[in-house]
Amino acid sequence: MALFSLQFAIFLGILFPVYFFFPKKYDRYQWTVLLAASYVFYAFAGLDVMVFLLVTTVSTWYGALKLGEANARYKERARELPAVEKKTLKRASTRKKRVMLLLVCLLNFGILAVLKYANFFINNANSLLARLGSGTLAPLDLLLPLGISFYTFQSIGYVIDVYRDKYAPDRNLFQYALFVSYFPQIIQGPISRHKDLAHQLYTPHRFDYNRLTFGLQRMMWGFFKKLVVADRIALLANTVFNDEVYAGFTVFIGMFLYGFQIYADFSGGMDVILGVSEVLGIELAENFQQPFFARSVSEFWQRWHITLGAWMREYVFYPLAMSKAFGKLSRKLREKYGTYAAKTVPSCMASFVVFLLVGIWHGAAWHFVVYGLYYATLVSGGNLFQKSFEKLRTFFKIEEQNRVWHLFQMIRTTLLCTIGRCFAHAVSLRRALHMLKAMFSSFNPWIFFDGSLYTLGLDPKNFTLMLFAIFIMLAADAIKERGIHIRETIARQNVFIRWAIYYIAFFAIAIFGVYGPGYDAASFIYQNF
Amino acid sequence: MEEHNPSKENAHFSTVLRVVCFVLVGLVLFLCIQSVLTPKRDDSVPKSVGTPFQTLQAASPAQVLFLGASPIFTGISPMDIYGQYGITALDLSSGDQDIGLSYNLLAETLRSWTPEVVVLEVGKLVAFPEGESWLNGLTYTPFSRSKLRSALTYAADIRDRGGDYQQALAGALVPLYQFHSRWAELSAADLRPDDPNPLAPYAKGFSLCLAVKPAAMTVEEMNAMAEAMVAEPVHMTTVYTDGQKSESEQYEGSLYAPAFSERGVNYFEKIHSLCAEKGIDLLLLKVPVVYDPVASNTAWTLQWHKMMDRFAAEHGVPFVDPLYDADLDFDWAHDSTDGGGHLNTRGARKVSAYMGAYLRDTYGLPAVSDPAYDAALALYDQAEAAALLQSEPDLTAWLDRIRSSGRDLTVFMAACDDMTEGLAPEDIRSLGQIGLQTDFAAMDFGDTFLAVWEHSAGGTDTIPYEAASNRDLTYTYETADGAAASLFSRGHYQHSGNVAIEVNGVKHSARERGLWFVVYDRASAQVLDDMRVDFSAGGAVIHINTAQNLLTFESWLGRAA
Repeated sequence: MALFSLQFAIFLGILFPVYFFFPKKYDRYQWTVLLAASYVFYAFAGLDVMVFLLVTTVSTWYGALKLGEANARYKERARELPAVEKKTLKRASTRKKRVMLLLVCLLNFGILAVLKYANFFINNANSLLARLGSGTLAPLDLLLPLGISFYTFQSIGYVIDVYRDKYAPDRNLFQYALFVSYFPQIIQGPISRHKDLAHQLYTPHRFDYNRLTFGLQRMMWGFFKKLVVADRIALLANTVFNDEVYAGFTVFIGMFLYGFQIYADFSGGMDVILGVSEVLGIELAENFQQPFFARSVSEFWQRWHITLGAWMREYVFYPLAMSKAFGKLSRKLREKYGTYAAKTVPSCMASFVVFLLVGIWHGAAWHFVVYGLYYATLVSGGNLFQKSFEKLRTFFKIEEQNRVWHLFQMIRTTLLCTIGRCFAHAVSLRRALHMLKAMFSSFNPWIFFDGSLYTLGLDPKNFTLMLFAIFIMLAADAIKERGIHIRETIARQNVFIRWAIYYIAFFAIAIFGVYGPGYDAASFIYQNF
Repeated sequence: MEEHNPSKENAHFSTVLRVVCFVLVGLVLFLCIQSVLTPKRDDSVPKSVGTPFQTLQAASPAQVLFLGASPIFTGISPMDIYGQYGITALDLSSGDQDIGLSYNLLAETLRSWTPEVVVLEVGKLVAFPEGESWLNGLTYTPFSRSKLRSALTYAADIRDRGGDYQQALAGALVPLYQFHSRWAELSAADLRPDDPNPLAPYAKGFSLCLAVKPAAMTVEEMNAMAEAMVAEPVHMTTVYTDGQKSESEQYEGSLYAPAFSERGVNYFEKIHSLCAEKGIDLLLLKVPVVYDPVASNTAWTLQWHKMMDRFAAEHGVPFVDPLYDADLDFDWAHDSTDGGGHLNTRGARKVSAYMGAYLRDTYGLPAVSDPAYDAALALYDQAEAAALLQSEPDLTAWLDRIRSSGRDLTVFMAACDDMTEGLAPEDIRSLGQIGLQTDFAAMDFGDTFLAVWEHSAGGTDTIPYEAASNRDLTYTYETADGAAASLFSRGHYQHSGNVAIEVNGVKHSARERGLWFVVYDRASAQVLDDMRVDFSAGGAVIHINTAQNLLTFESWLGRAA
C-alpha cells in the first residue's frame, strides 16, 4: 500500500476512528488495533512475504527472551558471589549469550543476505566462472519483502540491546510483533530503538485535536516535498541518468538536482510517516536534520538518515572501535606513531567498515559498494587530515565562525555528496563512472542560456516551479536550522492566517504535484532499499 | 461515573464547528479551482460533446435508444424521427464513445425505464477500443449515483485491461486529478464558467453539425481501393526509434485487414444478453461513412458490410446498413462534415428519416404524442432551420430558406468587384425575386453595391435601402428592434477594394471579394448567418462563424425555453 494512494487514505480513514474510539474500558488492548492495522498494511505487499516478517519477529522475540533470562539468571547468581567467581560466571554467561545472539543474527541477516544479496553473488560468481570457462549458476527468483532492511536492523538492534542488558526483553510476543511491524515505519524507517518506541506503542492514546492538526500539517509538508519537489525533479534527473548522450554541465545539473530529489523524496516520506504516527500519539525518531546545512561529510551523515547512522554507530562502529583487536592496533600505533595516529587510525578503519555496510545496505550491486567506499574515504580522509586542514585555514587567516567560510563548507559538502549520490542512483558502476567522466569531458555553459535545460523533461514553467519549490524546501530547513519551530509558529497565528496557510499548502500540492494519469508517484526511492 | 463538564462540551462543539467550517470552505475552494483547471466544454466541436449521462438524466422515457460513438450524435436526429414518425428516441452517445460506456449507459437507463428497441452503432465493435472517451463522458457529468456507479465500472474496466484502478477511479470522479497540471497553460478564458449548450436536452443527444467538407472519395472508389489492397499483400518493415534504441516490426499481408475487436464483441454480447433479459429488441446499425481504407481498417467497405451481416446473422440480431442496404441519395460532397468521417445535419436528416421508417415498419412502433417531445420539437425545428440555413451551399436555395424561415430577419448585403463573375443567372434571378433592382449582370469591375433586405415572419419582403455605384458607398441602418448596422463598399483592389458590414459594432466581413450577406434575427437580436458568395471561387457559398453562430442561437433558444 503506497503512502500516496487512495487505499492508504481509506486505510487511515478507518484506522483513526477505530483506534481512537476503542472502548475506554479496554484501552489496555488499544495497541491490538495498531497490530492488526500493521499486518493488514503489510498484507497489501503480499501474503507470501509475510512469512519472513513472522520469522524475524518470532526468532528475535524468542532470542531476546532467552538472552533476558540469561541476564536475569546471571544477576541472581552473581548477587552473592565474590568478584573473581562473578567474573567467571559472567564469562560463561556471555559465552552462552553470544551463541544465542549469533544464532539470531545468522538467521535474520541470513534471510536478508539471501533475499537481497544472493543474486549479486551469483552474478559475480557467474562473471568469474565465465572467465574460467565453466558453467554458470542460475539466478534465483526471489521476492524482496517490503521493508526487510528496516525491520531486520530494528529487530537485531533490540536483540543486541537485550544482550547488552540495556533493558528487559518484551515478554508479550504480540506486543513485540507490533514493535517490529508498526506500519508507518516499516516501509522506509526510521529504524527505531525498542526503548524509545515500544512503550509508546503499548500505551493507550486518546484523540487529540492539536496532535491531529500537527500530524496532518507534517503529512502535507511531506506530500509537498514528495509530489511537488521530488517527483518534479525526477522528470529531469531521470532523463539525465537514463541517457548516455548528456555531458558537461547537463550531467552536473542532473546529478546536483538529484540530491534535492532524494532528499525531498526520503525526508518527504519521513514527514508523512512521522505525521501519521503523530496523529496516533506515537513519536518516531527524526531521520533528518537539515542535511544541506552540513559543513562536512561526516556532519552530513549525522544529519542524513540519522537512525541508520545511529544504528551503525551503536552496533558496528563502537563494538569495532572498542574491540580487542582494535585496542591492540591502537597500542601498537601509539608506540610507533604517537597518540594522534593511535586515536585516528582505528576510528578510520571502523568508519570504513561502517560505510561499506551502509553502501551494501542500500543495495546489492557494485555501485552501492563504491558508494559506501566513497563516503568511507571522505570521512576517514577528513578525520586523518583534520589537523592539516586546520593549519591550512589558519594559514589563510579564515575565522572558524566566518559565515562565508560556513557557506563555502556547505557548498563543498553538497558538491562532494553530489558525486557520491551519482554512485547510488546510477544503474551500474559503469554508468556512474561514465557519468562522472562525461561531466568533466565537456564544457558547455551555454546550456544555461540556450534553452537546452528545458529539453530535459521540464518546460520553462515547470523548471521555474521546481527551483521555487526547492527554495521553499531549503527556506523551511533554514528556519528550522535557526531553531524556529514552524508548526508552533503557525499554531500561534490567528485563524485566518492559519487557514490561509493550510489551504495554500493543500492546493499547492493538489495543483503543482506531479501525479495523476501517466505518473507513478506512489513509490518512494528508499522503499526499494 | 463521568462528571458533566459544560466548558469541555463547549470546547468540543467549537472544535467540531471549526473542522466543519474548514472542510466546507476547503470544498468550495476545491470546486472553484477544479472548475478553472478543467478544460471548458466546447459544444461547437462535435468531437468534444461528451455528456450522455446528462442527456439521460434530462430525458423522459423513449421508445428507442441509440447507443454508439460520434456517428450517432452527428448522424441520427431523434427529433427528426419524432417530427416525421412520432417515435420517441434518445441518443446516448459521445465522442469516440467506448463500447463499455455504451453498455454502462444502457444498464443505467434500465434502472429507470425500458426502451422497446435499442440501436447499437457497430463502429466500436470494429474500432480499436479506447477508454479515454468514457473518462471524458464522466468528466463533465455532475456528481450523482449513476456517475459513481459508472466510474466504478470504468475503473474496473481499466483494471481488466492492465491499467491502474485507483488512478482510473480518481480521474473519473475528481477531474482535478486529471487536469491539475493544466496550471501551466491557463488563460483568462479558463476563468469563465463552463457553458454547456442549453439546447442539448431538447435535441435528445443529437448535435447539429453544420460544417460541410466533401468526402475524399466515392463509395465505389473506397471499395475499389480496399479490393486492390486486399489483392496485393505487402511486406513492410516499421522501425521505431526512441533516440537510442530502435526496434523493427515486420508486417506481411494486406494493408486493409478488417477484423472485429475482441473487447467490442464481448461488450456486444453483454448488451445483447441485457436486451434479451429485458425483452428489448436489439438492432445493429452502421451510420454511413466514406473514407480512405489506407487510413484505417474501419473504413466501411463492402467487405466490412458482409462481415457484419454474417456476424449479425450468427447472433440473431438484425443489422441495418443504409450505405449499402438503401438508396438514400447521399451527396458526399455536401452531406459530410469532415470529409466522409461523420455526417452533417443534412446527411443526418436522410439517415434519421430512413431509420424512423425502418423502426415503424419493422417493429411496428406507433406514433405517440409526448408533450415533452412536442415542446422540444418546437425548439429543435428552429435550431435545425438555422443550422440548415448556415450550411446551405446554394445561393438560390439559401435565399429560399430565408423566405420560408418564418422569422423576422434583416439581411445586410454588400459587394464589390467582379460581381458578375461568380453569380449564376439563376442566382441573379433569385436576387431579383426578393425585390432588388440592381442589375447584377450589368455591373462592372470596380463597382460597389449595398442593400438592406427586411423579411418578416409573415413572409413579406421589403428593400429599405439599395445602392449600386462605381464609387465608395457607406450606409447606416437601424433595425426595428434597434440594432445598429453600418455598411461600406469600395471597389477595385488597387484602391483597397473591400466591403464591411458591422452589426452592433461587430464586424462581419473581411477584405475579400464577393457578395456578403449578414442575416440578423430580430427575435434573438443576434446574427444568424454570415455568408459570402466567393467570386474568386466560382460563386461558392462560404458560411463564416457557423458553429459559433449556431451555438449562440441554440443558447438563446434554450434560455427562451
